[in-house]
Amino acid sequence: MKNNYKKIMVALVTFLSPFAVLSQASAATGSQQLEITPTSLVASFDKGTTSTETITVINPGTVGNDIKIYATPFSVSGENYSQNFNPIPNAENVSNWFSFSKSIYHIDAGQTLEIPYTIKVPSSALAGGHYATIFVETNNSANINGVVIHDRLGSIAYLTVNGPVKNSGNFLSWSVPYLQRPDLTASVRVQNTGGVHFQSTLNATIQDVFGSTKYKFYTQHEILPQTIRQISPVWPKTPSFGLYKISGSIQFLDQTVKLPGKYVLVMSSFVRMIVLILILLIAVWIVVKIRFSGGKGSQMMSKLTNKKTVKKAAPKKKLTNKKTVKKSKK
Amino acid sequence: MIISRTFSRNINSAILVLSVLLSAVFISGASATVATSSTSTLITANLSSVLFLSSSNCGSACNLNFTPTGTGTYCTVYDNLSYFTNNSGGYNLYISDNSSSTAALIGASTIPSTATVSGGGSASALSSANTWGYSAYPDPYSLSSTNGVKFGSTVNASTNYPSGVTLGTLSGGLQTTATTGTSSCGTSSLTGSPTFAGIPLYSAPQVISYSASQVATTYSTVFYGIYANTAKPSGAYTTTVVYTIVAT
Repeated sequence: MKNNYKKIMVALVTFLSPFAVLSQASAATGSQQLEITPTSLVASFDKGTTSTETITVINPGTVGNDIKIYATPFSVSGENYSQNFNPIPNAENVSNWFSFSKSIYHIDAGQTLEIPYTIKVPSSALAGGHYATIFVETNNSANINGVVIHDRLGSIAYLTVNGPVKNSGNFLSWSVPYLQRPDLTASVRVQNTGGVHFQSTLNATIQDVFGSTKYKFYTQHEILPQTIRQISPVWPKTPSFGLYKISGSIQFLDQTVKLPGKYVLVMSSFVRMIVLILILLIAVWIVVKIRFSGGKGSQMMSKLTNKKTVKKAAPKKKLTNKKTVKKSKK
Repeated sequence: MIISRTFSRNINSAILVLSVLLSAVFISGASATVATSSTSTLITANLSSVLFLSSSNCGSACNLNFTPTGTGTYCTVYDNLSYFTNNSGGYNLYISDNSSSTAALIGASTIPSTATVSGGGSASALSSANTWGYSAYPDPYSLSSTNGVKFGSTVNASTNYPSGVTLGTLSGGLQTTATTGTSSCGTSSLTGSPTFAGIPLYSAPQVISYSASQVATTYSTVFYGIYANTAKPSGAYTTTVVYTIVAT
């Protein structure tokens, strides 16, 4: 009996096993959380110098994390500044300037780690801007079927190698489409014509037609050498309908450019549909009114014409009578 | 009587003079105090810029455990992301595989990701067997706008689900269970034609959320979907997906 039972179990397992493509695995762990500061490093160095910096990593979560730290190159493309963390062929790889005493750390729940790293600027480095990203990435071991999750947080290093370098830029444009759907968006374009990055500070204010401030936008961005950057202030959760005025200023290098006020009519798709329906209804009403009043008008005209005829006819009659009277008097 | 009146007048005058003198002293003293405390001190607070990222449903792994059938089984799992930054320039949040050569689930065989997405490219439903992909919500590039997961336009802040979606009612065969990090599977086709994009390679991460200014805690939900049949040998199939957040 026992032997039969075992045989049945073996047969069942043998039969079912090919269908278990993905075996059972341990349950996923708790929330994986990381925080870093600062989000960018802006610093100047002389050629051939070495500097030690730190990045702070915080684990606000309830479980510990294994983390790794490393540097990658950093570059951008297009006016919307698409970020690129890959080496560019024949271009200097600034991530090679970075070194870490340890590349793997463990951070307990609630712990804060100060991770030091070294930047060694080669004596052959060109004067001007050089860029890299320092990444802190979770590196927890997971024995699962499916997707292992890594959270990666980057801090961009904007480095200036001291020396003679052109530092210049231009304001290019300030555009705000008059008719928009929410969210209200504007666009400022700034060009860096020099060899080193500079910071731009954009302030924009959105007011309603009565002058009441509805939203203030403030942002600071680095503009990399020989690039044009489009900065787009956005009013999140813009009301679906309204007439607003947006104005502001942008500062970079020694320039402050005033962004003149521009009116924006915000209409959501739903409001546009309502307005379209209203316009159609008004158009139909006008057509009907014209037709209706046109009929009345012709009736009135005919009535007026009749009256004139009567009026014209009457004096003739009177005159005739008068003449008749005069003639009779004579 | 006259003497007493004169006396009281003098008393009154004395009181008046005294009060004037006292008030003068008091005022001068007070003004002296003000003058002493008016030495200005410049208080400068320097708030460091921070970036925060959390994957709260899957944690360090999203399990896709299931038993396939000969005709194929659909299976989905989701991950909730929350993130914030006080960096005034905003952030970009990306998704990518950690490999620059393949985004396949690798085990005894490989299960390729459905398509390669770059710059908000096309996405496709899991129509062919033994493929997998992801669908991010909210979807900044409208990958799912034409043939995708048709949910509301906002995320429920308390559940992190797309609005109108509650546990157990999520359509399209997507993950509906409350168990963290585990998958929801079925043999019927995914109703509502949810759309999944291929996981981008490490060298070309895809932006799934962004802002040009600082943001308070913001949420995204990433669904992973797989469609597999018994043509693939059993065993563990894994890959690593990287969520990257960088200040802009």
